[in-house]
Amino acid sequence: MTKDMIVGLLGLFLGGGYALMAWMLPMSAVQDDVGPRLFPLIVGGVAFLAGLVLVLRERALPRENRKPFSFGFREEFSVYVKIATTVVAGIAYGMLLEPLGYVLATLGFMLLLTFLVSSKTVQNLVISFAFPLVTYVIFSNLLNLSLPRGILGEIFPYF
Amino acid sequence: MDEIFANLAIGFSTALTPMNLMWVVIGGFLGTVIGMLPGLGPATGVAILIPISYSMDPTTALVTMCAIYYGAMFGGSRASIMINTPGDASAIVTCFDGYPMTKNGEAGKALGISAIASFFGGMVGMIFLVFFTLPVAKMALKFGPGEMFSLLILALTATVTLAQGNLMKGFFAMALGFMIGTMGIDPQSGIFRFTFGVEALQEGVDFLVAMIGLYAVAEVFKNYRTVGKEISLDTSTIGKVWVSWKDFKQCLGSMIRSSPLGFVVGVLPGMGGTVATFMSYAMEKGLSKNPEKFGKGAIEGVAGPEAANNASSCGALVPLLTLGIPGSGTTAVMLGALMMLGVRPGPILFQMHPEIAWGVIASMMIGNVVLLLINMPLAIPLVQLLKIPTRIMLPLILGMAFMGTYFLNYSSFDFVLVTLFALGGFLLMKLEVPLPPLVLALILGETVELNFRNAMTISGGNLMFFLERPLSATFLGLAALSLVYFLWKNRKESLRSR
Repeated sequence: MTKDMIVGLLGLFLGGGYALMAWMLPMSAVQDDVGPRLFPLIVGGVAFLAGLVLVLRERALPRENRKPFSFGFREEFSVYVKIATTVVAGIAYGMLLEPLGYVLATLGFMLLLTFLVSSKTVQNLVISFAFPLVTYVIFSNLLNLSLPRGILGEIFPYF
Repeated sequence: MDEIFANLAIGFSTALTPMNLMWVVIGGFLGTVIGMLPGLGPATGVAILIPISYSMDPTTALVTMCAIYYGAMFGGSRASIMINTPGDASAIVTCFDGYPMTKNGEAGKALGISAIASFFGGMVGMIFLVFFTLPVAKMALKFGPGEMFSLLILALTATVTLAQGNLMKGFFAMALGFMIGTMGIDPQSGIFRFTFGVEALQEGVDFLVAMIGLYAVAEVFKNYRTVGKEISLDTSTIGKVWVSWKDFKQCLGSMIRSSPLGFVVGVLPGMGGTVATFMSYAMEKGLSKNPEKFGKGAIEGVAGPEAANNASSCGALVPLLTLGIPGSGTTAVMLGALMMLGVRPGPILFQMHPEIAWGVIASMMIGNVVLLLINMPLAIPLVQLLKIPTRIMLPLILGMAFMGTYFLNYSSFDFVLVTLFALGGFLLMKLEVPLPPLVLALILGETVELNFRNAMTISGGNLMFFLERPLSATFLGLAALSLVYFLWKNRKESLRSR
């Protein structure tokens, strides 16, 4: 599987799927308007065609010229672990932000991230505690933008 | 001519208020820092710093963003010169001769000439900008939906054809951008499209959320590979950051040549600082009496590209301000931010609010001077920032990115979107799918579709409408021409490699 082949298949599937969904949209209710289907159909068509050209072009290449593509999961395992952890951290951050409040949620987020890339404990702790506190003060108090208070807001209602 | 001066006068009176002046300095400083640090490009920097502009009025916000954008152009070369790692793509070329200059003990000279050349290129670029904006804005007022649609198609096609890379993958990226852009309520018919029943997607995907995911977080993913492998930096041997008169005269020719080149390249969508710097370098090396010095520390090799770079960022502002069409990731972010603030760049802006448009132009001229003053004396302290190790930078960048995201819509679902876009962006980068067409299609998608549908309404469903109107046909013709150019350029490459 080469890079272009993967992109080509993505084009075929995404373009085709999108166009199919567009086809199922209702036609226009208003007399004049072209309708919400036409533009998506064209876009899906472009993606599909681009994918088709890529797939056909790759298949036309002789065997030797094909450059196989791999994500390198084995060689760069630690990098992918970091990426996966960050993804989970990001989603968890989103879910916990409102219940825990900005300061606590960001603290947890930063702790996870700093320890992911560095083993210097003191530095990591300093950054993880300082960042949410400093930014909270600057943005919430100085610039008057609202950040979620969460649990801490219940305990310290006047900050 | 008189009109231009009158407008500039309005502009300067807006720009010279204490508030705006202060933010030019702050923005320029922040931009320089952002541009300097590898892993954090101007697009990301502008996106993350947008929340600062919330409490400002639109003019000040625009002034700040331009100052950040502009500052990043000054700062990008610092890392190139000192540690051979470009701060962003347009600073790559500065590594070629800037780093050898540091190794020759001429770091101070390199830092100095890069600041001076940036200033020079910026001044020339601003003068061109001033002369070009008014006629273009006036012409654009006469555009109907047909012309706008074709112009947008031209801009998007150019982004695919004029940039490097695979044509089909570029069009795929563009289509992908459109697809994401159509998610949400269709403004003209009121129905939901492609929301998969997810309530949070009803408003569609916020462009800036996508940008932060694609540019900031995905960059962090890329940088996870090099975390821990830190480069040592010795700043004690920089010497004085100054350029002798003799050196300046030596570089004058390259600066004078590269600035207009940079400006023209910057105007064209799909081409920006990166192309401008490479072209300038090639030109200077070709015209030089001592081409063998290039690559070993030729000062013209730093001066030319730096001037071209700043001139091109002025050029990129022409389509952004006069037509509302961004030509690059960074200008797309600026457009997104402006739309969020309720300012819509384009010919209407020049007509209804000339003080905003010209205020920005005037403040960029002021900013040019300010940045020169920041960058020369403060070069050495600023360069210390390069010593901050990646393992501290990356979590901080992520923290700022997510915080900035929250302020966009106060929605924590956006954090999920940012993460998904980051994954997608990383995947696309690995597959060598170009991102600029995706980004531009994403932000322009709604406008493209709107103009398309309006034009179709006017023409009564006649697709040939776009070819019947002369201006519209010209734009589409140019788009086709750029396709031909691309294929011809690639035909030459593949013939040569046989």
